[in-house]
Formats: sequence, C-alpha cells, structure tokens
Amino acid sequence: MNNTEKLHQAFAQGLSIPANAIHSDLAYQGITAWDSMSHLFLIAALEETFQIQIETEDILEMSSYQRITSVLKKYDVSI
Amino acid sequence: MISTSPSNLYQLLSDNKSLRYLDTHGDRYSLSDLATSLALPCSRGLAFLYLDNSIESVSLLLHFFRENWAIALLPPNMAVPFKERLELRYQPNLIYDPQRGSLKGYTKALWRHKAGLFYADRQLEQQLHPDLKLLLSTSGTTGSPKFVKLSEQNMIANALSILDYLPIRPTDVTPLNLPLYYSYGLSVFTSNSIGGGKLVCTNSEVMQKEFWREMERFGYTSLAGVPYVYELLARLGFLKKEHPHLRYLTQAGGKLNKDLLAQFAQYAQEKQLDFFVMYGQTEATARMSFLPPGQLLDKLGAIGKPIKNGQFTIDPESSELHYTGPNVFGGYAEGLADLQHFDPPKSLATGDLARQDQDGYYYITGRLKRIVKLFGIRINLDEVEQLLAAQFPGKELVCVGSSDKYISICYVDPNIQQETIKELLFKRVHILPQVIRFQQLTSILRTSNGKIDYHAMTTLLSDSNALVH
Repeated sequence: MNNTEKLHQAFAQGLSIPANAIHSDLAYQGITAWDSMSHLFLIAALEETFQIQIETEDILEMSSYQRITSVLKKYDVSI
Repeated sequence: MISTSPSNLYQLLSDNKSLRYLDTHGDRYSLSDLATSLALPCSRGLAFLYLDNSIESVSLLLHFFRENWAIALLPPNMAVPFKERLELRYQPNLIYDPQRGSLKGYTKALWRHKAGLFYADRQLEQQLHPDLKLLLSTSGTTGSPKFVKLSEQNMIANALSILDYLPIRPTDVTPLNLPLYYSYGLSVFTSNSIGGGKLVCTNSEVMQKEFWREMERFGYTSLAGVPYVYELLARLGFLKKEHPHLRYLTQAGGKLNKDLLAQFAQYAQEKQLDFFVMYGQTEATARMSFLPPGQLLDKLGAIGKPIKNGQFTIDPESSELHYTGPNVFGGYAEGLADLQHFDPPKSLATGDLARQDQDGYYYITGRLKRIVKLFGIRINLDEVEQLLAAQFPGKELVCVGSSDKYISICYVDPNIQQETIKELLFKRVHILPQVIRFQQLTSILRTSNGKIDYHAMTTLLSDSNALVH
C-alpha cells in the first residue's frame, strides 16, 4: 500500500466514511462526519497508520485534507 | 448585590451596567444595541430559534427575553427533515433559521440585515400557558419532539443560584464556548449576562486554532466544558501550559473520568485556579449541585451539595436522587397541546442513583434508566434497541453501555450487517459509528423470569474488555 492509500484508509477509519467519500477537498466541519468528536479519532488513525506521534500544535493545524498532507511531511511521510 | 425575587430577566440584564457583548472582531455592543425592535405578528406566540453563538443569534435571543413570547432553542445543524417534522408538530408563529432559504407556509424577513427570519402566513392563536417561556430538547440533533418546558422564573432562579457560588465578576471575559440551545451553555449565558462583564459571541471551539487565538486576544477568565471538552483540552496540551487570565473552570454534563479529574484538580491547585465540578439536568433548567473547589481533591468524584434554594433527597428504596427547588421544570411537551399546561412536579426524579457521605456530599453511583451519556448527549439504550428490533426483525440485538464511552451491541446470530447497523444509528439517532462496538455472545443472559439481564451483561462486557486490554 502506498502512502496515499494509507492516508485514505486512515480517513475512512477515523471519520467512519466510505472510501469513495474521501477526496482532497475534505475539510474540518465541511462534512457532518468530521467534527470535533471525530477529529481525535482521525488523529489516532493517522498515528496508528503511519506509526507516528502527532504533536499538540499539529492537531489544531490538521484541519483539512491538504493541511494534513503538509503536516505529515514534518513526520517524514510524503503523500 | 441583586435585589430579592426579581421577576423579569431582561430587567436583570439591564441592571448590569458592565454587560457588553463582543463579536469575534472585538466590536462591543450594549444590551440596548442588540435587543433592537423586531415587529412581531402578535403579543404572545411561539418562536423556533435555530441558534448558533454568533452576535446575530445572541441579539435575537436577547430580543425574545424582552418579549412575552415562548421560545424553543434548537441546534442549527439539525437535519432539515427533522426540522420540518418538529415545525409541523408545533406550528411556530416565527422561525429563525439562517440555513434555509425558504419555508413553505412562511414569509421571509431580514434580521440585522441578514436572511433567516420567517413569519407564518397563517398566524395561529396559540394556547400557551402564561408561565411557559422556554423549550429545550435533551437529545441534541436527533430531532426528538420531546421538549422540556421552562418558565422565566426557572431561568432567573437558576441563574441567581449559580451567581451565588461561581466567582462571576463585572471584570470577567467569558466565551460562549458551549451552544446556547444546550441548557449548560444557556446557563453560562444567563448567569454571566446578569453578573459578568464581557461575553464573547463566537462559534469557534477548542479544536480550532481560532478559539485559542481568541482566548489569548480577549483574555478569557473562565471556560466551561462537558467531559469530552476536558478530554480534548488534555490531548491539546492544556495542562502543560500557563493560562494567565484564567480564574476558574466549570465542568458539567456527565461524569469526568477519575484520572482526568485528578489531573485537572492537581493543575488547578498548582495554578490557583478554581475548578468547579457541577451536576444538573435540563429538567432543572441546568444546575442542581456543585462541589466547592476547596473540596475537590478530598471529595474527588462527588457532585457536591445542592445549589442555593435547592434540596436533594434519596429515595430509601430505590436510591434514586430527587431534587426540589425553584428551577424545576413544568413538565415535558410532545406536541402543541402540551404547551397549554405548566405543572412542576413535587420533586424532580433525576433517574440517577446516589449516596451521601458523612459530611453531606452527594455521589452518583449509577443510573435507574438505561441511559448512556455520550459527548454530553443522552441516549436511551431501550429506544436504540427498539429501533434495531424494528429494522432487523428476528435478530436479537442487545445494547449495553460501557462507562459512557461506548455502546456495545451484543448478538448471537453472526449473520448481522455491522456497517448497515452503524449507518442506521448514525442517520436516525446520530450515534457516531466510532463509539459502537459489536460483541458476539454464545447466548443473551436472562434473569429467572426471562427478561434480559442487563446488569449481568454489563459486568460480562466490562470483564471481557478487561481481558482484551
């Protein structure tokens, strides 16, 4: 599985949405499934999928698909 | 000090000369700036207000505090079919909902130069009990037609009891970080409008950078949160930082887990913050008891003692906690006809089981009804089970709550569609798929008279969870 596939898997798992609902325009509060409650599930799914520890300030930064991909670069994960 | 038994909420707010409402730009408004005149079709009617925490919403709410109308406060993000079903049932004379462009049977109007107001074309002469002021739901966005009926006297009494113990001051800067349609959020609004200083009207929440920017910019002096908010705060490193303007924190809306409670209690002691653990229900307008911050570490996990003018009793047979006080509601409404009546019960049966220690502090020990509280929203497990039984006839699906964190769905027949069940529960009762666990059992445990033994099932599941982790 490449990193994009892994990222999509983390999205599907964290937000409990089907794979075909995942696209690069997704944003926090842009869909009902991505709210403050599910955000922590998404963070946990990303940590588990990429085996990383996400820093506090990055949790607030990761408010869209695009921002998540750029923050993941800090953790040596390129999408 | 506040004068004795005031009868008018709006008057209490007018008496607070320090009161200012701020929008997120920092613009300040006095009460008279915001409660501007709005042409109403009759002297007393019913309004449905789908409110967020923006200055426009606050301004409309303040306006209705002044009018002799009854108002239902509702979440703006409720699904449109749910909104329509509620409106059909209650026939409101006026609706405020900026999220919908048009409404059948209603004519559009502007509020503060923006769309969102709707007047009913046919103005029904509503039969509303003179005491009825406020309708609140206890079930979040699920669209349940069941409302809690509250009076203006309920709201005043509860706000004044809260002002009696919270250190609310005219120099305070308080964010509206909980929804106004939620009883706890509304109580922050009313008590601070009566005795506080600046209230910041914002829709940002702790999970957004804007919230922390606003906290720094405005210098918030207090924060309010349900257990989930405290979990977020801990994960966001709140306990590792200094918050120089913060004087006190309040927590209500369910039991905070003991580890987290201890961490916050420790933090509060080190930083000389007051941390108030509180207990309440919408049926009591909001608040019933609080634990004085000085007792927090000694009485960890307690809900404290009743607020001023409130009393607790524990039923000697069932151990159910009962409350009496001037903030107890006037009954439930399921439809328009119920709005003619307002009948406060002798005492409010909380549905919680409690004990009292030798020093007079109360502790919640369990629940009488099968209700779990997930993210501050009550979910009745019997209702979920009935929904599943209707959708999947012949499959025995038993719901058990696990420490207010998960709902476990137990089954024997492996031939069930877990994804379909999750989807149904999300769509119909807004239970997040992430909090649903499935557990296959060799048999459903029953009592000697054949009823499902939920107590034994809960114990079985907590034991099996203990094995897994």
